[in-house]
Amino acid sequence: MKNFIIAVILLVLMIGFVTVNAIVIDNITDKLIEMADGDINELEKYWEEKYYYISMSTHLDILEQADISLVEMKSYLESGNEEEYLAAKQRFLNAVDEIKTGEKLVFYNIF
Amino acid sequence: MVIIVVRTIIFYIVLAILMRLMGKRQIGEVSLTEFVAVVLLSELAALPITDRDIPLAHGLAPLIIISSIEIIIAYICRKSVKIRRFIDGKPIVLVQNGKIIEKNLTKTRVTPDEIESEIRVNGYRQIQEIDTVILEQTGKLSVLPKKKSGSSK
Repeated sequence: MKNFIIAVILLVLMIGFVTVNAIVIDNITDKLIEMADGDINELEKYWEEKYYYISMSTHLDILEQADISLVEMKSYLESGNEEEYLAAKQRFLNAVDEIKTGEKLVFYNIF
Repeated sequence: MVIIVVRTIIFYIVLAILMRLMGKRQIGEVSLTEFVAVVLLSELAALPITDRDIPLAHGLAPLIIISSIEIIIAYICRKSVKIRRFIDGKPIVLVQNGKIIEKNLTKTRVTPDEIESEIRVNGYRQIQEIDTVILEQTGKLSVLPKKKSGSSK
């Protein structure tokens, strides 16, 4: 009976953690997408703030992809290369979108 | 390298705690659901230990969920005969009165050679000395000798 109660508690905690994590990741990624059109320094600061939280539930390669794209965005913006900046921004948005959809309970994620 | 060592220790401790919660039964005595859980746990724990790309949470969450489900199913099975029968199945008689029941052999995919081997392991020479052979839910064969044959055990 004791083990059964521990198992139920663990399962409920895990489901709770996963649900809360999905909601938090959704909010963070929404904010990142919104901030991508604004100031790059603020976006970079916010990304660095939330990086460790996102890394708890996201594969390293997606994180790296977003991280590299953000660095590229900044350097292209500073050098005034508009086209490359937009391309880097798109890569960043794609990576953020991948983080966002990775936590969603949708058919294509399951299968 | 340090990360791998730390992750290995974390996974070992978590897995040991989960296995302790699941009980002390060994492989060969486990039920179907326990077997599935043990196979999955060993595979799931091995991957995230060495692959740093996989977040720790992605490795730990399935372990905890599978163990919890297994403990819950085991508890429900203990409480309900119907569910126990549905999940673990029923023992199947393979030999009765010294005669092999072919229909049950086909159903369970057990060969006559396996039955004869189990009879010998139990210390009998011929199937005629045996009253009943039962395939238990755990996959083990129980050999029950005829009373009049005088058991050699």
